[in-house]
Amino acid sequence: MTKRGRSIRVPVLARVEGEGALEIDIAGNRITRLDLRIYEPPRLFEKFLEGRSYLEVPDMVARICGICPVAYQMSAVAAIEDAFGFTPGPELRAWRRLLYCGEWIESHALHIHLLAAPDVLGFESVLDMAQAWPEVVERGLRLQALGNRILAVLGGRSVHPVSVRPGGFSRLPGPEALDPLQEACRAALETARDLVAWTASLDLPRETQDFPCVALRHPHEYPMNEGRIAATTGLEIPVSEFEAHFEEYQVPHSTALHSRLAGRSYLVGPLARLNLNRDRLPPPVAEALAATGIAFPSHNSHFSIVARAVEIFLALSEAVRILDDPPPAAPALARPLQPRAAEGFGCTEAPRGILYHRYRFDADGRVQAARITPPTSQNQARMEEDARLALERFGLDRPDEELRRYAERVIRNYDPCISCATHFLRLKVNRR
Amino acid sequence: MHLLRHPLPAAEGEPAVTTIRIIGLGSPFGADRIGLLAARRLAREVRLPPGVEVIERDRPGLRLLEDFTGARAVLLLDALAGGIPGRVREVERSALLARAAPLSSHALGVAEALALAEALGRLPEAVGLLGVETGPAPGPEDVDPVWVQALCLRVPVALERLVPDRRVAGCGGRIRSRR
Repeated sequence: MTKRGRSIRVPVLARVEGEGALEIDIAGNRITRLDLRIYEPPRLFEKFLEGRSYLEVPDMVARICGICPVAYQMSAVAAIEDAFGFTPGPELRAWRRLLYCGEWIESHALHIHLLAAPDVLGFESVLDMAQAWPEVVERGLRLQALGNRILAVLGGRSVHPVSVRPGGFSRLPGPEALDPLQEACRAALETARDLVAWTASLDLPRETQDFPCVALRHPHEYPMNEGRIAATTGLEIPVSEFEAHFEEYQVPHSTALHSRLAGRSYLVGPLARLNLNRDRLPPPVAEALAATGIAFPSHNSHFSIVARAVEIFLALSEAVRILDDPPPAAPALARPLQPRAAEGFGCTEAPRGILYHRYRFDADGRVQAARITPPTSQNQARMEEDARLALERFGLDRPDEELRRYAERVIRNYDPCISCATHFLRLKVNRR
Repeated sequence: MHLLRHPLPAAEGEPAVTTIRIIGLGSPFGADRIGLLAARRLAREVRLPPGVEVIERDRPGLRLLEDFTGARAVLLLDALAGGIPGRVREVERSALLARAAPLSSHALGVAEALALAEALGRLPEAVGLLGVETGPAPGPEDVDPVWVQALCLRVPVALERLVPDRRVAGCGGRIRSRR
C-alpha cells in the first residue's frame, strides 16, 4: 500500500506491512518491563468464517496471510478432512508436499537474503547490501522465483493458489509443465547446498537461551503436512490435543494472546523443526548440515538462518524427488466430500512454524466456530523473552536507535509474519 | 466498460511484443483493495492487446521485485492515502523512487522493492503508478465501485504516457538502453 506519511487504519490483522511496537522500561542495566506488539492474530477471520461453507474456507483463509497462503490452505483442508473423515491418499499427499516445498523455498529464500543477510553482513538496509553484494540478493531472488514457480505450476498462480480444495486439487499440471520444473529444481540443488555452507560461515552471535521447541513429528519424513505435535520437553500428542496442552493467555499490553506450554514460552519454526527432526533429513541434506560443524540441537536463535538454508535444501531435494517420478494426477483430484456435524483439527508446518486450525461444522458443512493459531502468535512470548535477555546482554547504556536496531535483529530471527520491510519496529524507551 | 475496448491500438506496422505489466496492489481490506479490484476488472472485462498483462499482488512487499523483472514497462495501480477522495493521480518514476529513499522506520515493501530493483538494474525505465486518493485517514471502509472504474478508465492514458514508443529492441525499432 503506497502511503504518503499517513497510515490507513485497517483491521489490525491486515497490515502485514505495518509496524511493530516495542516498549521497554529500563532501570539501570535491567529491563523491568518489555512489551512487544508485533502481530495480531486473525481473530476477525475466525468470525468471518462462521456460517460459511467448508468449500469456501481454503480460499478465505488464504487471504489471512499475503505471504504464506499455501500454509493456511494446507492447515484448513487438513482440519476439514479430519472433520469429514477423509484421509488423503499417497498421491494427494505427494502433490501437497510438493506445493508446500514451493512455499518453504520462496519464503525462506526471501528471508535469508533480503531480511536477515543485511543484519548479519552489517548493513542498514537491503538496499545498502545490494550495492555491495548484488550476487547475494540475486541468489535470493533466483531461489525465491523458483519457489514461486512451483506454486504457479501446481497452484494456478503464485499468490493465492487457486487449485487447493478439500479432498484434493481442482487441477494438476501435466508433464509439459512438470519436466521443465524438475530440471530447474535439479539445477538449483548445488546452489542450495552452497547456501547451507554460506549461512554457517557468517559471523553469527553465539547466544544460547533456554526454551522448549515445538514442531510436528512424523514416522519417516521431515514434517510438512502431517505428524503429531512434539516438543523438546518430551511431549508428543495428536493434533486434536493441541488446546489441551498449549495455553493461550491474555497479556495486558497487547490484543494478541500469547501461548505457553506448561507455563513456558516456546519456539516454533525452522530451528525448532530442525532440532526435533534432524534424523528425518535425506542423506545429502544431513551431510550438508553436519559439514557446518554447528552442534544441533541448538538453542541459539541466530542459527535460524542456517536452519532456513537447510530447509531450502530439504524442500528442493523433496521437490526433485517427487518430480522425478510424479504421482498420477487423477487420484489427487478433488472429489466431493460428505459433510457432517463434526469438529476437525489440522496442524501443518508453515514456513514460520506450526499453524493450527480447528473448525466445528454443522450437518451441512457450514462453519459454526473456528480457531486459528498462527506460528507468529505462538512465538510472541518467546520473542519478548529473547529480546529482554538479548538487550540486557547487549548493554542498555546505548542510544535508543542502537537498541532498536538490535531488538529488530533479534526479533527478525523469528521471521515474524509482520512485514517484508527491513525496518518494522517502533521503539519507546522509558529510563529511570 | 465499453470505453476500454481496444484502448491500446498496436503501433502501426509493428508487432506489439513488449511486455507491459500492470500490477494491481493492495490488501483485502477496505479501500486498500482498490488496486486489486482494478486489476481484476481489467483482466476480466478488457481485451488487452498482446504484450500487455495484468496481475494482482496482495501485500507483496519485496516480492514485487520478481514482477519488475522482464517487463518493458510497469504500471502500478494502488490506493493513495490522503489527498482528495476519489481523485486519480499519476505518480511518475522519479517521484516513486524519491519516496523510497531515505528508508525510514516507515519503509514499506513497495517503496523498498522499487529502490532495490533500481539498485539491481531490474527496474524498467518505464515505471509509473496510477492511484486513487482515499482522503484523510482512516480512509473509507469500503471501495466505491466508481473509484475502481475511474482508475481503470485512466489506464490507457497512463500507459501511453509510460510507453509512447512501443517498438521493440531488435524488431527494427529504437533500442532503449537500460541503465
